[in-house]
Amino acid sequence: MKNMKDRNLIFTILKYAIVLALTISMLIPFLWMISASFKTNMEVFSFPIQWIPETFHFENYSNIWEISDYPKMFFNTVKLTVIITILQIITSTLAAYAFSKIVFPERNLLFLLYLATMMVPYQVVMIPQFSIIRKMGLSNTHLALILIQAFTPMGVFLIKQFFDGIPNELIEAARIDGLNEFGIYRKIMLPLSKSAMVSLAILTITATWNDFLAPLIYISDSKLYTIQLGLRNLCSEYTTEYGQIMAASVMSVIPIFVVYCLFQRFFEEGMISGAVKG
Amino acid sequence: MSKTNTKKKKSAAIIRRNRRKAYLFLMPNFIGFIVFTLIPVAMALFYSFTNYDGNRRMDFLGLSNFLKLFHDSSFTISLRNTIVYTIGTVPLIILFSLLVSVLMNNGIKGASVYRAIMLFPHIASIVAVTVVWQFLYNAKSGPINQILRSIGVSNPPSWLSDEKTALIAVMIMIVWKGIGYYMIIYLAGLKGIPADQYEAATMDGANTWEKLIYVTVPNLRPVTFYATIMCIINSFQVFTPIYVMTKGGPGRATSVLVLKIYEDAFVNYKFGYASAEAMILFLLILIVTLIQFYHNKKLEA
Amino acid sequence: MKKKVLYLLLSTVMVTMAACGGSSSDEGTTDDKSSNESSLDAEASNDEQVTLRLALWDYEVDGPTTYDPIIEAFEKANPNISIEVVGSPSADYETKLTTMLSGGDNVDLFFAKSNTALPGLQSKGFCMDLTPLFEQNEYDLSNYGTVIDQHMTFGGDVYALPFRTNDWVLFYNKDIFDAAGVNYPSDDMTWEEVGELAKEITEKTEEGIYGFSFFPKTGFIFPVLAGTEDGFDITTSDLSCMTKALDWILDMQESGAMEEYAESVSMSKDQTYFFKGEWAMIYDGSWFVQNMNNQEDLGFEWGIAKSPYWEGTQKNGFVTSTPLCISATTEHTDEAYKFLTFVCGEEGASILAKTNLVPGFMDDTVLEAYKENLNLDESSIAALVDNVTYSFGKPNTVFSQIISAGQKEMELVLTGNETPEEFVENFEAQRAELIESAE
Repeated sequence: MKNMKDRNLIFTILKYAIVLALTISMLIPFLWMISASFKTNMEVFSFPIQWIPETFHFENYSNIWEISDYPKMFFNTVKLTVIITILQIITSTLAAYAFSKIVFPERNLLFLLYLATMMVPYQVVMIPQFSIIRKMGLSNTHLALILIQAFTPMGVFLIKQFFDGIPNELIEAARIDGLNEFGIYRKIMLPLSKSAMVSLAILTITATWNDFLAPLIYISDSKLYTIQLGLRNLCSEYTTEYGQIMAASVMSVIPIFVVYCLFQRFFEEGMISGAVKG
Repeated sequence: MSKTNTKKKKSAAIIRRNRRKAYLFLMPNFIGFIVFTLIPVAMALFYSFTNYDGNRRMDFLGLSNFLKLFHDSSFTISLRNTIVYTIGTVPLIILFSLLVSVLMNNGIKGASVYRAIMLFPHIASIVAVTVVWQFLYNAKSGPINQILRSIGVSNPPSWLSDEKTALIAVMIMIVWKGIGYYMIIYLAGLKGIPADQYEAATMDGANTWEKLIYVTVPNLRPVTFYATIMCIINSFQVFTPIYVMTKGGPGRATSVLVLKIYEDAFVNYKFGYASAEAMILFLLILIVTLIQFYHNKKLEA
Repeated sequence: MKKKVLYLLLSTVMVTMAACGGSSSDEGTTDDKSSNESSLDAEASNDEQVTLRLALWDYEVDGPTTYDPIIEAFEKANPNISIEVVGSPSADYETKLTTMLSGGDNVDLFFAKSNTALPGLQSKGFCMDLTPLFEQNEYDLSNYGTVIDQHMTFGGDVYALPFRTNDWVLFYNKDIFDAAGVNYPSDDMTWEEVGELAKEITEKTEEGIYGFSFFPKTGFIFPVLAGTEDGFDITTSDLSCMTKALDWILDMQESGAMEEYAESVSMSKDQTYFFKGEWAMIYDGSWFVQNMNNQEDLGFEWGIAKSPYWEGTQKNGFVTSTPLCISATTEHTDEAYKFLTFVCGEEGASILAKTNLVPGFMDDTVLEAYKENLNLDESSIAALVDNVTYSFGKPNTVFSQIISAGQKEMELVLTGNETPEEFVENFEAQRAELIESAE
C-alpha cells in the first residue's frame, strides 16, 4: 500500500513537472520578446539573460510608432479584419440557413461542392485567383483581400453545423405563424446561434490579422501594407535596432491576445468545431 | 410532363418557391464562392497544362510541365524538404499534445491557466513568432547558443546558417507552435470518453498507467487519426515561417514546396509551371484526405 | 431600423459581387486591358490633366532627398502632368514590381531595381521599346556612356534609360588607418593586396574592428566573383575562375579580417557598422556616398579608392545602373516619354548630381555639379570618375534567375556548407537546367 502511495506521489510530481516545463517553454520566447523590446541594442543579447531590464526603454515603442509606417499598417489591418469578419458572418449565416433549413433539389449537390473545395489548399487556388482579381483591376487594393477572404466555404460549414442542431419544428412553427424566411433567419436563427457566430468571428479575426501569404501576393504599395508584411519587412530591411523590432513584434500580437483573453471559450469552441468536419 | 395532376403542380410550385428562396439566401456567399474558389480550382488545373506566363503567352503543353518537374532540382529538393519537414514535425506535435492533454485531464491544479498559456504560440502571428525565434537562434549571441555554451557545449550548431540544422531549427519552432492547438483537440476528445469505462477499469484494479494504455489511448484513436491527418496537411502547406526565417536558404536547404510554388508564380511569373507544382501539392493532400475518408467509412461500417 | 441597415448592407454586397462577376466574364482571358483603363483614357481626353503612376522603391526613405526635387521640377515644367508615386520597400520591390506590371495596376513608368532585373522584365514584355520614340524625337543617346549598350539594349532596341549609374568602389575609414599607421588603400590595388591590407589593419587595431567588409547581402558580394576573368559572361563562361574569389573571401573570414557572413546576416548588419567605425573598409556602390554624407556626426574622416581588381585581369571595376522604363501598357506614351527624358536627361541629371548620386546622363556640366557637391578630397573624387567597368555579361531571359541561383550557391560557400569547387559544380548544373528550361 505504501508502495502504491509513493508511486502516486512520484506520478503527481512527474505530472506537474512535465506540464510546468512545457508551459514555461511556451512562455519563454514571449517573455524574451517582451523583455528585449524594452532594451537597448547592446542589452538585447547580453548574457546571462537579464529578464527585467535595468531601465525600461519605452522609446523603442514610441520610435516604432512615430518613425515607421506602423500606425498606418495597424489601421489597414484593423480595417481589413473588421470588414472581412462582418462580411464572412453575414454571408455564411445566410448561406448556412439555405443549406440547413430550406429544402431545395440541388441542396446536397451544392453543399458537396462546398465541402469538396474545402480540401483544396489555398496554394492551388492562389494563382488563378490572382488572375481573376487582376482582370477585375483590383490587384494592389484592399478590396482584393476582402473579396478572397470573405466568402470561404469554411464559415458556411461551421454555421451550418450549428444550424443543423436547431430543431426544424421551431422553424415550421414559425412558418405557420406567418413569419417569412428572412424573418425566421433574423428573429430565430441568429439569436439562437450567437455563440457559433462569435466563434466564427474569432476564427476569422485571427486568420485575417495573422494572414501573410495573401497580402504578400496582392499588396504592392507600402501605403497599403498590413502589419504582418510590415513586420517581416522591418526585420529583412537590415534594421539593426533589435529592441525596436521586438517592440514591433509585441505590438503586432497584443490585439489578438486581448481578443483571446476576452473570448477564450469561443476560441477553443471555434477550433474544435472547425476540427470536427470529416 | 404531359400528365400533371394538381398535386404534382402544387409540389412543383413549392419546389420553385423554395428554390428561389434558397438561392436568395445563398447568393451573397455563393457568387463569391464561385468566382474566388470554384472557378480558380478549375483554372488551376487548366493552367497546369500550359506555359501561361501571367501575361501574354498561353500555349497548351500537355503533360510537359509535369515531366519537367522531376528534372528540376529545385523542385525535387523542395519536395524532399517538405516531406522531411512533415515526417519530423507531425509525430512530435501529436506525441507532445497527447501527453500534455492527458496530464491536464488528470486533475491538475490551475489547468485552465496552463491551457491558456499553451495556446499562446498558436494564436500569435507566425511572422512575429518567427522574428523572435530568429533572434533566439542567432549563432554567436543568441540566447539558445549562449545557454548551450554555458552548460558546456563548446561548439553549438549555427542553426539557421548551417545547411544541416536550418530545417531542424524551423521544425523545432513549428513543434513549439503547434502543440497547443492539437492539445485543445485532444482535450475535447478526452471529454468524450465515457466515465464508466474508467470506473470499470478501476474496479478491475487498473493503475493510472494501465488506464491510460487500455482506456484512454484506444478511445482517442479517432481523434489521433484526425489530428495526424490535419497536421500532415498543414505541414505540406508550410510557407510563412520559411519565407520569413530563411527564404529557403542557406542555398536551397530549407526550400519547401509552397515556397517554390510562390517563387515560380509570383517572382518568375511561370503561372503554368507553378500551377503544375501546385497540382502535385494538391495530389499529396488528396491522397492523405482520401485515406482519412476511407478510414472514416470503415469506422462507420 | 436595424433591419433596413442589414438589407442595405446585403444589397451592397450583392451589387458589388454582381459587378465584379460581370466584369470578369465580360473580358476574355487573353485580353490585357481592363475596363477601368479605358475609362481612365476617356477621362484624359476630356481633360488635359494627366496623372502618371510611377513605381519606385523606398520612396518613404529616399523620396525627399532623391526623387521629390526632380518630380517637383518636372511638374513645374509640365503643369498638365502630375506624378503619383507607388512603391514598396526595397526588399520586396522586384517581386512587387512584377506584380504591379502584370496586375493591370496602370503603372506608366517604373524604375527597375538594377540592370540585372531588366532582362527579366523586358522578356515578359513589360517595357516599351523606346527606339521608335528616340528616332522620332531625334534623341541623343551619346551622353550615357557604355551603359545603354551594356545594360539597356535587347536585340538592337533600347528599352530603358539609365537614371543612375553605380560604380562599385572601396570606401575606407581614414581614422582607423591613421590610428594603425597604415597607408590608405590606393586606386590601383588587386583584391589580393586589399586582403593583405585588411589583415594588417585588423591586427593593428583593437578587437571588434574588421579590416574589410561587404554589405552582407549576397547581391553585394556576387559581383566580385564575376570579375575574376576578363570578358566573363555569367550565361556562357566557364565558372571555375570564380573559385579564386571564393577562396579569397573564405580566407578573409578565417583570418578574422572580415566578419563571418553568417554572423553579419543573422545580426542584420548593414552599413551602419561602417558608420559606427567597426569596419575599416567596405566595398559598395557609388550611391553609398549619399548615405555617408547624410550621416550627421559621423565622427571620422573617410575616403574612396577605385574598385580593386583580380591579379592578372584588366583594371576593371563593376558597374550597375538603375534603369527607368515606360510600361508597355501605358495610355500616356507622350507624357511618359516626356518624364523619362526629363528625369534621365540633362534636367534630371543636373538635379540628381547635387544629391551625390551619379546620373546616367553625363556631360561636363553635370560632372562638375556632381564633383562640386561631393564634399570629398581630390583622390576620392578621382576614384569615382573615369572608371572602366565590367558587368555580368549579355543578358538572356533567365539572366536574373541564373544570378539568383549563383547567389544562393555562393551563400552556401560563405556559410561553410560547401567548398568553392562544389560551388562551381552545382552552379554549373543549375545554370544548365535554367538555360534548358528557357528553351
